[in-house]
Amino acid sequence: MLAHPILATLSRIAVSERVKTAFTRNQGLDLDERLLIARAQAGDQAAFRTLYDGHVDRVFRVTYRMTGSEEAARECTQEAFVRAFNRLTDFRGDAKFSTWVHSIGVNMALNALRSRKRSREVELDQELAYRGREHGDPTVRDRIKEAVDTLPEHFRTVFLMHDLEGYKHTEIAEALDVAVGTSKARLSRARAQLRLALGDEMREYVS
Amino acid sequence: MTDQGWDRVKDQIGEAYNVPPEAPRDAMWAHIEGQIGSSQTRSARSDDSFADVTPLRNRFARHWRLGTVVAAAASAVLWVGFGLGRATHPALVDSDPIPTLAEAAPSQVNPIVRVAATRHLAATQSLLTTVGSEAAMGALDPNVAAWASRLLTDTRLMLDSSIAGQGDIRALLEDLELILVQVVHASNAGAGADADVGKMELQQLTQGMQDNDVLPRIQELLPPVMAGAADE
Repeated sequence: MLAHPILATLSRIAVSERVKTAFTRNQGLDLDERLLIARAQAGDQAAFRTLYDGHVDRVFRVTYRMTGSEEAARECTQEAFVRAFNRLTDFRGDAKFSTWVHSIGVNMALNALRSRKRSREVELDQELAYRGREHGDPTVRDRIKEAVDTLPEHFRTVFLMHDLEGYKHTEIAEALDVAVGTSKARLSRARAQLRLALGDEMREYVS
Repeated sequence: MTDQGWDRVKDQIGEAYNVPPEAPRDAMWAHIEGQIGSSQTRSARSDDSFADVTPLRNRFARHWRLGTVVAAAASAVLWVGFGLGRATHPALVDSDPIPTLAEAAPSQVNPIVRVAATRHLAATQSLLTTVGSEAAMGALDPNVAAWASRLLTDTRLMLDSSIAGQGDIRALLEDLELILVQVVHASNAGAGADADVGKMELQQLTQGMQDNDVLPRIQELLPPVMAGAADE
């Protein structure tokens, strides 16, 4: 019987040697996620689904925030998980699985935006989707949309991820492959630009 | 505006801008599940397009001379590849040797062209990584201009080829063309008499690389083996 209680439990569950090695290596993942990944690597479909359920909402939300299109958000989210799962055999646990899948999703969304920048059909899609959700005065809403849309791409991405979707700067830095300081600087610039653009409309919200 | 005031502004923006609907979990899972059914065999073919399990993390090239050799080799492969691609009927094999780029490229692209394109992107990645590290030190090696110039020629060749038919690749190549022109200018300006012009060119170059996120976009298209080779 192994002295360490968790290793003893792992032995009883008959987890592979690779999982035990990964655990004792003390990487950034918690034990549950490591076990899930090990099971998924062994082909356990239920483990894939559990990993998916743990991250899908957040990936979908951020890709929707970025693209403004449900179709694009679905495609980016689906592709992020397909790619992450298809490379799971090479996953070493050096980074969190969530960082990995979010990074792919965010960059797919950025690529989608760049493609759509070269066609104008997105304007109509966004306008139609936007009008489907009534929140507050249309004039203020339109100005908000315009203000955020006109942010430079890298400022807008950080702003959406941090201020609207609650990502930490460390997560944003990993996803966008920038330094944490860069993420903070971009957020600061985004907020400054939004304050300037929305100052009049938001006066009632300033105490 | 106070922090509290900004929090309220932020909340208003959150309620008004691209408000996400509920995620269609089951529908998306049905699609994903169908794609990972043979994940053990698919991973051998490596049809994804990101470089490493540590996502999109740049690594610096050790020495630009190795990159020059890589660029020259990639250029030779590119010219041979396009020549062969035009001269030969595309007798395709079922499994693409470089499925990462293949996934993004139209299926009718000759695999030789695809291989050449992948090697070209790897060489460009090597150059831009070197440029990034040298720019941080304030100046580009004058020899970088020749290297960038060769890659610029090849990038333009690719833009005229079938590999540039798909939107994402075309967009990347167009951005790379611009960046490579800036690299040439910045490298030549740095070797010139006016240091201020050189600094300005370098600033515009680094800003352009940052704004267009070219390195992450290249890494996304390269398979792991090519990305690793380009970084050594």
